Amino acid sequence: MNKKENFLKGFIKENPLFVLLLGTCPALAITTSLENALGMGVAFIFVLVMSNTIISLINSFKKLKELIQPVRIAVYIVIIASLVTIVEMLMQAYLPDLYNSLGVFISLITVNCIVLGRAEAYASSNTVGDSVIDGISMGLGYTLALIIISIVRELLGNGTITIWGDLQLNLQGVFDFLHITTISFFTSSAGAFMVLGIVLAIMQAIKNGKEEKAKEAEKAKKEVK
Amino acid sequence: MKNNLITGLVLSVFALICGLMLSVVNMFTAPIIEERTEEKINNSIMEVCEIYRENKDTYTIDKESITHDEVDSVYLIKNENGEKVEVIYIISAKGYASTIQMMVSVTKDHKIEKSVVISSAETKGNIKTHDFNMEGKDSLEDFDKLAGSTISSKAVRKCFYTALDLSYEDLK
Repeated sequence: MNKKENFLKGFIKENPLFVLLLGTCPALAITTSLENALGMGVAFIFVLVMSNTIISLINSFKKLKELIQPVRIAVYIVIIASLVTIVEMLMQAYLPDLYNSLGVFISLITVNCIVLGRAEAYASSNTVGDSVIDGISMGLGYTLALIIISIVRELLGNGTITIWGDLQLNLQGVFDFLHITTISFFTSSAGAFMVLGIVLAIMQAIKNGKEEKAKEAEKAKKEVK
Repeated sequence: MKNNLITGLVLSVFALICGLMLSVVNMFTAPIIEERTEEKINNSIMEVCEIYRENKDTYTIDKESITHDEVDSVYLIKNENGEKVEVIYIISAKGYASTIQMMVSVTKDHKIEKSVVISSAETKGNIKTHDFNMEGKDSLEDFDKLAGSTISSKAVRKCFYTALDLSYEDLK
C-alpha cells in the first residue's frame, strides 16, 4: 500500500464508523450538533495521531519492543489514557462549553476500539511515518462520519446547523416555507440509530452497485474473448 | 521472576513518564480552569442575589465552611450588622444525561429569590433557560417541570427542595 492509498483508506474503503463499525457509542451520543461532531473529531484525531506516533516509535526500537511485549496492551492504554487526559484538560481550560457538551465521551476515547485497534494492528508493526498517515486518515474518516450523521440529525431534529459557538445556520425558514416541521425524534438516541442505519444502507447499496458493475464488465470481457 | 520484575519496571517507567507529562499540562491548565470556575460562580451570584448586586458596599458575601451532604458550597449574605439576610447554595443533582449543578438563593423569609443552572449537559429541552416558576415561592407546589424532561426536572426539583429545607437551618 503506497502513501496515497494509506491516506485515503480511512475515508471510505476502511472508514472506522461506516465500514468497520467501530466507535459507534460516542458517534451516536454526541452527534446532536455539528459543533459537537467537530470538537469530538479534533480531539479524536489528536489522540489517534499521537498514540500511533508514540507506539510506532516505541516499537521501532527492537530491545524496547521485546521488553514491553508481555505488557504491551497495558502500556498502550497508559499512553492513550494520558493523551486523552491532556485533551480533556486543554478542552476544559480553553473550550469549556464544548467540554460540558461532550461530557463523559471525551474520557471514553481511552477505551475507543479504533484507537487501541490501530495501535495494536497498525502502529506496532509499521514505520512512524506510515503510522502518522494512518492516524490522520482514520481520524479524518471518523470525523467525516460524525459530521455526516450530525448534520442530518441536527437539521431534521432542530432545523439548525451549529458550526461553532454562535455561528449557526438557522434553516427554520426553509422548513416553514415547505410547510413541514422539524422531527425531534432525530435528536434522540433512537434517531441516531436510524440515521446511522440509513447511511450504512446507502453505502452498502453503492458498494453492491459497484460490485455488480464490475461483475458485468468481467462477464462482457469473457464473452468478447 | 526476573522477567516479571523487568516487565513491571518497564510498565512503571511508562506510567511515570505519562504522569510527568500530565503534571506539566496540569500546571498550565489548572489556574485557567480555576479562574473560569470562580468567574462563573461570581457571575451567577450576581445574577441570583439582587441585594448584593445593588448594594455591594453595604452587604458582604462569605463562603461558609458549612457542610451538607447534598450541597457543594454555601454562601451567606450578611448586612453591615453581621446579620444573615440571604443564603446561596450551589447544589448538584443527577439528571438524565449529566449532573445538573444549580445555584439557588433563598431569602430570610425562606422564599426562593432566584436560581440559575451553572452546568448541565442535558440533551432534552433547554434546562438552562426554562422558568420553573419557583421565584418568590416557599414550597414546591407550583413547580413547573420541563415538558419531555422528567428526569432532569426531578433533579432540578431536588435542588430547590434541598435549598428550601436547609435554609431553615442556615439562616437561623
